[in-house]
Amino acid sequence: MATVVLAEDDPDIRDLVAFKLRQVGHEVRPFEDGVSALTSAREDVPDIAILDIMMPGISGLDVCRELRNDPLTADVPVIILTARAQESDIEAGFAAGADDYIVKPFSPRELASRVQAVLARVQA
Amino acid sequence: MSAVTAPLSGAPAVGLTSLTTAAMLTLAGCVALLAILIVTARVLRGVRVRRRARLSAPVRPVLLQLAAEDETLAARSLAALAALDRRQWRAIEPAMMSLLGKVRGELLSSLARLFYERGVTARAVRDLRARSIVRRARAATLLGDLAHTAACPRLHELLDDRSLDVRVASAQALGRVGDCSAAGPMLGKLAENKKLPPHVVADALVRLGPGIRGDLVAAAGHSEPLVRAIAIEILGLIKAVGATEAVIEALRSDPSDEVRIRAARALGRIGMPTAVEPLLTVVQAGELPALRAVAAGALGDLGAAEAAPGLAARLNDPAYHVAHNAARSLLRLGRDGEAALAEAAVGILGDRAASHAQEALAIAAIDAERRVHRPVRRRAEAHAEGRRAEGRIGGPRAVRP
Repeated sequence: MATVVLAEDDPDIRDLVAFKLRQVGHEVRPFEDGVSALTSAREDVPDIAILDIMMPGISGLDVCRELRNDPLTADVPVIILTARAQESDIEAGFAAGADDYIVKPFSPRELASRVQAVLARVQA
Repeated sequence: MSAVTAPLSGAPAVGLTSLTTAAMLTLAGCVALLAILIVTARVLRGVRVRRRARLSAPVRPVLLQLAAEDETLAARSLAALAALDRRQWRAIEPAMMSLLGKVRGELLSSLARLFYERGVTARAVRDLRARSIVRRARAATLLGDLAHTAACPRLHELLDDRSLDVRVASAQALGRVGDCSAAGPMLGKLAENKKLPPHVVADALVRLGPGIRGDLVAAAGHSEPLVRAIAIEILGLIKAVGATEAVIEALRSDPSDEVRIRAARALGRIGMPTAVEPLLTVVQAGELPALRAVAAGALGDLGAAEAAPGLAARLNDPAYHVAHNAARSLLRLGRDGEAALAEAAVGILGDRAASHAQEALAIAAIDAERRVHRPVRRRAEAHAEGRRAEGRIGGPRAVRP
């Protein structure tokens, strides 16, 4: 079981992702904005973070950068989950330090597999 | 006499005062009425939202179970949702509609099946012929989200609908359904007095992907520059390697500057090495600065080391964006590019070139600094060790097989 911090302002997607990841055995801490997710990640470092880009307050990319800049959370793998599908958006996601980038519409099953893959890669 | 005239002379003033008072009272009444209406509307909306939330709350977990790994559980959830009474269905329907455009795979298939069983799909197909613009547009959007291919012929017809909203919704739906036969008609609409906004057509075409390469190449020879520009742009976005020659031809000889600029950008995105020489020719010749700037950027996208001398020569270009993009592109060419920048940074090519080279190298240094942050993250490992000791997570990284 891994601990997942999830930042997603869309309640339907947030509930869906949380349900799917809990189903495969992860502990999920869902948040509707980036600031709460960041605060939670700093208080209790998760095994992985899943971040939407466009959220109220700070964006998922900013959260990712903040995680990377803090030695305590710099090692947390990050998956960006967003509707922004342009090549430049994806490039910006990886430039911010993301480990993987998933574009909406997404398959919940594929998301769960990607989480597993990223965690396994970090573990290796 | 004066006793008679005095009240008469005061009459207009009294009349004006009472008129002002009446106007003020009417205005106050209108404001009060408006306030009451706004408050009532908000209260009613709040009641409706709470009622919907109350009704959907017990159903919501059932909806999420559609995404369950366990097929039996997912099937049971599908059956339960299909059997919901009308009130509960109406309460949970917005959440399902919202999910439609955001998910794909098995969950989308399950939702499509559910909508079919509940008659929502059939109703949407009927609504494509409704008199209401809103109903037609909503139906097109829903059928696009459901990837309902049977609706494509009618969606094609709706590309000529009198309402722009319906035309846009139909184009977006055809893109989501993946109907490649819609590419030609949609490109044609761009020429027909802009019946469809270019960004809508572009978005739909990108969704259609490589299957429409032939239509795009044909449209690259269209008489209307806007059609050519969009076709070339999309060839780049879908990375149509097989269309490289057509795009190079557009870069070399299209009469429209806009089309040539998009061709330069597209060649960078497509990534074929045969594009290096034509892009270098454009960068070096006395072309439009905007075109040369985009070509300089595209050479960086290609990442071909042989472009380094040509780009280095542009570091001293009087057009700021050409020199700036040349410097940024050199960074992307590996050692050859970095060596060219290092040479230029000490002033060999002049002060202007030195400034651009120094800026690019400084940005590269900052990026490198950011990148080394990750190997430094050993302190986080120590923290994780502590957590493992607490039994919070198992193994080096807790992952279920």
